[in-house]
Amino acid sequence: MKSSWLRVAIAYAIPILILAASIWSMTLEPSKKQTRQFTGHMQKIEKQVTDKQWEAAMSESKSAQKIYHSAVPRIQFSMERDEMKQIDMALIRLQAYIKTENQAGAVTSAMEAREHWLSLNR
Amino acid sequence: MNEALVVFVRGLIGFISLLIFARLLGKQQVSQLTFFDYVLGITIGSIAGSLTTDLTSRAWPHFIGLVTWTGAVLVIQWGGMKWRYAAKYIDGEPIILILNGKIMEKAMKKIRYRIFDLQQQLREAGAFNIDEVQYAILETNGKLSVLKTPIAQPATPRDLNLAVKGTSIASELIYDGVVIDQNLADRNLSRYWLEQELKKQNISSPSEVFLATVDDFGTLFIDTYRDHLVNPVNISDYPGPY
Repeated sequence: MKSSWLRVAIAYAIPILILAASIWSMTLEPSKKQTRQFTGHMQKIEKQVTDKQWEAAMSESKSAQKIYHSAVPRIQFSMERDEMKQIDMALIRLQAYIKTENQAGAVTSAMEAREHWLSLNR
Repeated sequence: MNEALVVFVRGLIGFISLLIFARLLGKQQVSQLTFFDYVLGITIGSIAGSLTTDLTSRAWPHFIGLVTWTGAVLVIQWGGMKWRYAAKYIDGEPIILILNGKIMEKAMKKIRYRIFDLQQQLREAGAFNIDEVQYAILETNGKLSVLKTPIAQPATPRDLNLAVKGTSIASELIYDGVVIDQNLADRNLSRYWLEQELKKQNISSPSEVFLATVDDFGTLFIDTYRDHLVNPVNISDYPGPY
């Protein structure tokens, strides 16, 4: 009697657990800490670019890129591929603009990267 | 981002979700599906396919689509179980196309059903002459149920006043060389009895048996792996390779 009850429980638990794990993996977002760090880096870059502190801005952009790459394994199963690629591209453009000391381009790319990151959490 | 890995994981999610939802939807046979059920199946499968390979959108909305369609089907099934009228409203009703040997032209016209369709489905039901048909009813799944006139119906043992042995469902005692003890116990049989029966047919061990079944009358069917065929019939004209 007990074993048949256990069997029924297992029979129901397996699909429920699988569905729960699937839902969990499909709804993963970047952690709040990562979001706070990434958007913080972008805000700093905007200020540093405006103040023409190019080396500091480059260092910040590399830190932001590290955060992005550390978030990818977590969110790759749940997020749009294009949205993620756009963040990647915006970061690369940002570094190119910082290297060429292009203020308008760098600020635009920093804002673009931040906006794409925030859209991951929506 | 490893796209192959993402597709693999999303594929597993889609496959398992579809498997679970299909189990939830029940065991309706393909032959019993209405056109709507058929379209539902295709749509749900298509959503699962998009969930797997459409990396330009998130997996979650696809999953919600899958849940929505499955939920809608469950609601319709539940409604159909609770209210007979709802089932008839959703699935429609069987339509009589031949009544007492007369073709119902108005009913056929209403459902855009041609005489050729009727003739074809009658032939499929074994009625090659409309004269033989008393009733023909088009079921909601599109199949035609045919009741032949008494004169055209095959004679049954009752017509001939013959005494016949009853029928029963057989249960498996050995499958793939493994004895199924639970079925033996259900039939109040023992391993000893089974081994004696196998010995009578020159089988030394259950591992030599592919399938053994027994029915309510104790009739044992045994199929061994070695079939000992003298002149096996070969219907293939394909020489290979296999």
